[in-house]
Amino acid sequence: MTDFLNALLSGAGFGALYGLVALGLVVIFKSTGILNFSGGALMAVGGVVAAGLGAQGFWIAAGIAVVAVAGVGAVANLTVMRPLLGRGLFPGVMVTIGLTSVIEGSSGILFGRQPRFLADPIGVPTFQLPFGTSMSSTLAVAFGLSAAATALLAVAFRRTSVGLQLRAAAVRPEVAAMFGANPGRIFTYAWAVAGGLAALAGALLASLTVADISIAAFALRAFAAMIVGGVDSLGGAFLGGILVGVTELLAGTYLGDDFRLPSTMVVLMVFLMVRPQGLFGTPEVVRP
Amino acid sequence: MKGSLPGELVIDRLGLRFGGVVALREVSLTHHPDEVLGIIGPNGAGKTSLINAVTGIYPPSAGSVRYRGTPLTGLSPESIVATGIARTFQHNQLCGDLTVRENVLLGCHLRLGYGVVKAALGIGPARRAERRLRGEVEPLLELLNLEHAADERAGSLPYGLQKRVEMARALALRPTTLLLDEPAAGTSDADRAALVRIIKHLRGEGSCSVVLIEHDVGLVMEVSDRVAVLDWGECIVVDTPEVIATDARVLAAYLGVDDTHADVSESA
Amino acid sequence: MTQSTSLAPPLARPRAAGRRTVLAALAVAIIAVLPLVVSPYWTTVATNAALAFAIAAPLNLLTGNAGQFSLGNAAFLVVGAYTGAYVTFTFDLELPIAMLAAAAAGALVGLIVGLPSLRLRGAYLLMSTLAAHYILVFAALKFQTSQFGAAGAIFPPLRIAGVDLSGERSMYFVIAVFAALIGLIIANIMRSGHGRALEAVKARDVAAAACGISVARAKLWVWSLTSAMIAAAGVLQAYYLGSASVEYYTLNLAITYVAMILVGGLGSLGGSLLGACFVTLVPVGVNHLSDAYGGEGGGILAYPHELQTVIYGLIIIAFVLLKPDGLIGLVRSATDRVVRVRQGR
Ligand SMILES: Nc1ncnc2c1ncn2[C@@H]1O[C@H](COP(=O)(O)OP(=O)(O)O)[C@@H](O)[C@H]1O
Ligand SMILES: [Mg+2]
Repeated sequence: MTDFLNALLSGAGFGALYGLVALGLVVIFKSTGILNFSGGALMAVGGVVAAGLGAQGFWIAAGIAVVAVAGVGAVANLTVMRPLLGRGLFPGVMVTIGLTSVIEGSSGILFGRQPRFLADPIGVPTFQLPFGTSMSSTLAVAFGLSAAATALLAVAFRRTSVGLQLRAAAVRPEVAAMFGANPGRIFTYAWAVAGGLAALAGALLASLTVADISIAAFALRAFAAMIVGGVDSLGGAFLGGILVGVTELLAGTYLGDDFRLPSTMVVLMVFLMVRPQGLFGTPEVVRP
Repeated sequence: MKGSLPGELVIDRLGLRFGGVVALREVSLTHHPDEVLGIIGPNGAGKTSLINAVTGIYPPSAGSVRYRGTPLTGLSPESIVATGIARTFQHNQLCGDLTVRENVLLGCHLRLGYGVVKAALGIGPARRAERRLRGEVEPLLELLNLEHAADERAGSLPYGLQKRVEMARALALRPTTLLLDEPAAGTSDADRAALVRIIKHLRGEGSCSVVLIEHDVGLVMEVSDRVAVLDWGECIVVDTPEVIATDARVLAAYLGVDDTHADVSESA
Repeated sequence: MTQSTSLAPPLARPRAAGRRTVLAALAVAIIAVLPLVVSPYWTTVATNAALAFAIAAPLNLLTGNAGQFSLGNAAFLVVGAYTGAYVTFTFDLELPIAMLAAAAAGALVGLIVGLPSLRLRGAYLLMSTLAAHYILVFAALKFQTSQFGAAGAIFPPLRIAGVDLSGERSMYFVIAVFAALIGLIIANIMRSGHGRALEAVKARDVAAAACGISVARAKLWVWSLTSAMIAAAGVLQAYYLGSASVEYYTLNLAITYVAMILVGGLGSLGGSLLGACFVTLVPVGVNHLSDAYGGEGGGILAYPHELQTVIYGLIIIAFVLLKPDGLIGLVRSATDRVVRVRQGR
């Protein structure tokens, strides 16, 4: 019972991290139609940068990493992503894969490959909870930050003019442009937001485990989170992340650690077969 | 299939809906062998939907379709094609990267006569079949004046030419019934004249009956034996061109939608 | 009527077919003579390129011609390698039989992995191949632990009919012959009506169905066939590497083959060949540079591994943005220019 509750708690915490990265994927997919494979690299380089600044304490280090990686996202959009609009799935996927390579290699050249550590965001390492359960404070913070980021973005998408333009640009770039939206600038915002969210996840992960560029692989679960939640739903990314994280931790607890990643991929596959639009996404309409 | 006679297509109380949109409502129509049936109606009337439902692209939500007495409802598109019904698309559906000849050869797929294994081994039967099919498409390319463009990329051709390639591909299926969805839209006067010639040729030859959907009412009246009028997903009247031309309901249907006339002048 | 003047094909098809025969003969000659004239090091490079081609070419048929974007190819390699290892060790079978068994397993698994393509497209289909990769590799891990132990399957030196073929040069010939066979089969399919049907399935599935092509059946046979080929190649690859272990079959490996067909040219057999050679040569080139100049104070050349990663990424990006038709596109425009000059235009 305690194991089960612990798995739920940690699962929700890790799931919130996947949700953060998935949120970035959704923002990009929703606005530009590009399926971003570089979320993991953005996250990892965020973790590496934050850990490199570890002497400043978690919050300052994470803040700088978020801004820096948001910049990386924006630059990526301005240089290599923008020419891809409207060119379909394959080019976008391949360029973001290329981007992943460039980011990972550059990170190795600039910051070295040695693993680094980052302090916890708050003083206490773990919270002791009823029924003998406990939760890492970093995971609790991750959960809170992820929920807050999701809510903030959802409101921004609905209420602000940038959000409105993002939604319009996603549906009809040419019409949005007619009404004065500047899709180029809008997409840069989308990439910056995605970079920042990924870097935040990276910093949190760095304080949970270690920071080196190989933590990029963690973000594979973000794809599962994105599909489970629905590729065009912000809240779905968060909840999808939780669902995926809980599944993963339960599989890890009851089946063994090597079942963790595969269990998330099974969830992904099941959703694709049974409900490809996810929990909250809009079903795709195909017209001949 | 060559030599087999055109069949009777019976559409019985066919219905098709997309969520809340009713594209077809209880449409009943019989297409007799050896006749050119014109279908007209304003934009969004459900003409394309009718073809899509008959050819199995969208399974109808009510009613039935029979061809030569065989029920088509529930069959896959490729099985429906195999009964002898071919179609063209209102919006070009050519493979832009293939040449014109290869696009037309696609229409011969049911007569390939060899499987993937023979193709993979590249042995005699596959090669002979390819040579035979290439011979078979030549007359079609000629009939549609496409010989000069046969080795061009289909995607690089002007619109009117692409429409003719679509028609050649459909004819390569050797259909007994041909469904044409706005074959003259956006084409030149010469293309339109060629279309009239081809439809009359098919009618005269007697191997293939034609259903013609067109916005160009004049063209429909010129070549059709009977004309059906669709409006808001319903078939409001079916009769000879002479009667249709003076029918008040038809006029009313069209008067509701001005842009039809714009379309006619555009295509002229 | 819109006239297509000037558009008669410059040289009719028969000439092109003749040229193809000449090219094929030339290729065979080069393949046969290569290891006799170059050093063992370059023989190794050539072997790697041939192996890469034998995997990239089926992938290109699947992705480039049939439009099924797949990240499942590393998983098919491990399916092949382990099926091959299992039948070899258990029944003491010869390589060709092991490869046939692997191909059969690959065909079956490919059919299953291809099933989602009947309902999904685009990003969703790609995600299903990603999930399939991890699920299959995990199954392989479990199989490995139970059958071969933690280190994976160790392959003996290659012998066929009692003849030792484990030397670098004989390995090269075995792999080159297999690669040529794969290339031949794929060329035949691409030239046939079934190859044409794949193009229609990729570009216009509704029109394909309206031509009587069963889109579902076409997708399934191409998934099955290409996976069978990749699985068979997996056995050879494992023999060549001497062992097969799950850690080798990563998503990055799968991506490498996708990068090859992108760089070489999607939907083109020649493209698969050029891409396989090019991507195989990148690390070779960087290592040379790094060995030559990467010592003390060598700057970024002191990081050959990182540098390779960056260059590899930049190559992928550059091809998508600047040369989407790949190296074969360069070759085509060059030959077109030569033909035009010869004709005095
Ligand atoms: N795939 C589809 N999804 C939703 N609605 C559709 C679809 N296809 C057609 N419709 C709707 O059905 C109606 C009839 O359309 P259509 O058959 O294309 O008309 P026509 O060919 O006569 O111009 C229209 O209201 C159209 O919007
Ligand atoms: Mg229409």
